[in-house]
Amino acid sequence: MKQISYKLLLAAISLAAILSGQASAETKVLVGTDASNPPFASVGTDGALQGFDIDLVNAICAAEKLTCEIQNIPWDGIFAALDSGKTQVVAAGLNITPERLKKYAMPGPYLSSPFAYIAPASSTLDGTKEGLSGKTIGTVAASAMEKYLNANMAGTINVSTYDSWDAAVLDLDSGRTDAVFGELIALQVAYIKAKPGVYKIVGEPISDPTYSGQGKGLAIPKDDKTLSAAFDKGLATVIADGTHAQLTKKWFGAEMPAK
Amino acid sequence: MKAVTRPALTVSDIRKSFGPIEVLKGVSFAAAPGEVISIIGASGSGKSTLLRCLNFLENPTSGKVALGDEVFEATEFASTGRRSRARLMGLRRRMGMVFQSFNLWPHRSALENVMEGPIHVLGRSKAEAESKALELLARVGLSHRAHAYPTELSGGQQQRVAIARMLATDPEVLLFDEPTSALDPELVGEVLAVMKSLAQEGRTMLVVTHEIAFARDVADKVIFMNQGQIEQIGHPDEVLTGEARSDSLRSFLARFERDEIRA
Amino acid sequence: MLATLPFLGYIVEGLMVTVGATLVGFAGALLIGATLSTLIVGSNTLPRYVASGYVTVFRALPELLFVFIVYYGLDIAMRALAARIGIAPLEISPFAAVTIALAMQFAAYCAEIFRDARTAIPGGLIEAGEAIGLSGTKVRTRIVLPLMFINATPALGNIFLVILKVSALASVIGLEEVTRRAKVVAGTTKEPFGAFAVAGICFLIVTALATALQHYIERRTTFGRSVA
Repeated sequence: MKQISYKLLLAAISLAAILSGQASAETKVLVGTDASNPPFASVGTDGALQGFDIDLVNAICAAEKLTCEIQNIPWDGIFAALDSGKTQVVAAGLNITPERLKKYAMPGPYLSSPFAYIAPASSTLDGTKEGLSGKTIGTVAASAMEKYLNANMAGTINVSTYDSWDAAVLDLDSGRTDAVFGELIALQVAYIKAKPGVYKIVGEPISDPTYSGQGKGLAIPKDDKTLSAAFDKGLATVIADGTHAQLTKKWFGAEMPAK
Repeated sequence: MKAVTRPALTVSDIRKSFGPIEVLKGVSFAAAPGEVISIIGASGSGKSTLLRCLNFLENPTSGKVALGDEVFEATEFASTGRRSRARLMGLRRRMGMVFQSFNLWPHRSALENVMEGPIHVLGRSKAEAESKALELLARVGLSHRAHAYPTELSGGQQQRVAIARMLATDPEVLLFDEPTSALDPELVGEVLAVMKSLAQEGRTMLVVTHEIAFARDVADKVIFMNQGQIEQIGHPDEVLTGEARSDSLRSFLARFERDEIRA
Repeated sequence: MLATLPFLGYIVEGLMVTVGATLVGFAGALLIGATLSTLIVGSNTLPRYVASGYVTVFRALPELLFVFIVYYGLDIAMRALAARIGIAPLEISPFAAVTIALAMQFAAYCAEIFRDARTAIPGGLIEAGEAIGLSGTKVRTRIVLPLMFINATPALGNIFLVILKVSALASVIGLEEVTRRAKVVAGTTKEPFGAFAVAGICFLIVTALATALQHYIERRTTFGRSVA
């Protein structure tokens, strides 16, 4: 019995050690991103985070002299992490939407982001509402794109939702869907540029202020006013000094406006 | 001061009830040092329960057990106080027991089974325990099987290891609870032979058994139990063939006589 | 597959986290499970009911749900508590959350396994120990516990493998274990099959090693019984 209580004590001590491991970093700003979404965020072969969002956040933090730590958090749990205080800022290529603005301060926009359809290079789709009638379109669940489709295309198309763009494009490859509806920039870089000749953008990019028109922003809980003010100011600085333009060129192949 | 032939074991008015059923209705007898007592009786007569009450594997409802001069009251082990636990362990150390189903520990070899008591009850060193265990295994004719596990041994061999295990803690009184009942007929002899040699060594033994031949040839005294009481006690000749036998004893013995004639 | 190869090290590194979380969770489950099983078979009424209730609740809760409860729920609770008593709140790391969740959840199964393993020990073996004068503690440590462990090994081996796989749930709260890293790499390389195949092979290897260890332990504890 003595042995068992000794082991219990040991377990309790090591548990406390694990628990308190993160408690010391009080002055750090924790920024969450999902590193499976290039070019906004991904990992290098050494496991280090890289991407437009990563560089931008680092530039903003440098401009505001903040010590920032970027965390790799799965997309499914990223807002839960923000709401529960596990992370303080979300920088994950988020679109600014009225719905999100109700809960969060969203410094930005830092990139305009129209939506677009991609389809296999051989597809005959033209991207018009009539042309898409009866087709199955893949997109990521709970994204602004899904909401746009539900609001504007309900009854015309069938929407198939996935937990990631890769999953959506996998089903496009297998022929289960006819097109994937996503953000022009992400689709352009991740699929069209990465695998030349396999996919193409069909139709014209779509801008809708309700869903996409407000561009990309960061998300910070509304009650953390100091932090959102700092990020507002920092973003303005990096846009003004040309850092932002430089980063868009690095990650998207061309300079892109913030608005 | 005391009489020279002070009993090794004195049993006084042991009673045991399981719920409303009284299994032992006041059993008293004594065993002199070196005496071998066979306890016979139909199943359900309380003979096994009696044996288990002597080393308190069952707590008697009332009565006393005395080992030499030391008296143990039926009620004193009902509580689990530290002192009574220590006294109980001492009592059990001084009384060995062999079970019908051998009960060797399957995760230990024959040798380890026998060493367990010397090391963990008597506090002997491992080397000392091992040489003692090997000696005892030789005594029961199993030196060559010392490193076998119980499942690799025949029933008769297992029971002989169990006897060696019992002897390893130097008990003063040996209790045998139907030691041959679970054995195939051809394996009974080897176990009885070991028991017979122990009797000849002058050990004090209580043997619950259906082996009437053992009772007749080896025992100094035979107890016939019927319905929780000693119905007859005495010299084997007297109990097994005497004129004063009760009807229930006669009908009990008749079954064995028929068996022996057939065999 | 080619684009995935440079990320091999990154994914395999996640295996350390997976194995670490599994081992700590498993150890915790054994500890809590053993405690629960002694309470369940014990003679005290209240602890017995509490322990039985625990087993019922945790066998019913989905693992994922409980991971969320520990990671987010406990954190919010700690924050509230810390604010009330005025100290800096302890943060629950994803690793701590998932090991606590796995340990608490699988303790319920371990408790059942231990209880069955204990009941499977013939009473005569314990009486044989008592009859030679072994103390209660010695009977427990020399006879009951070893036999209980031997009886429980096959079932505990299965529990270990289940915990190993369920630990992948930790990826949803951002623990950088194999599946999470495979998913990140899949997103980065756009080669989901390559990344997930590597993750699958990682699990296969650990499972094979664990199974080999289990068979080794079982062989060592046959004690002459014939093994099919």
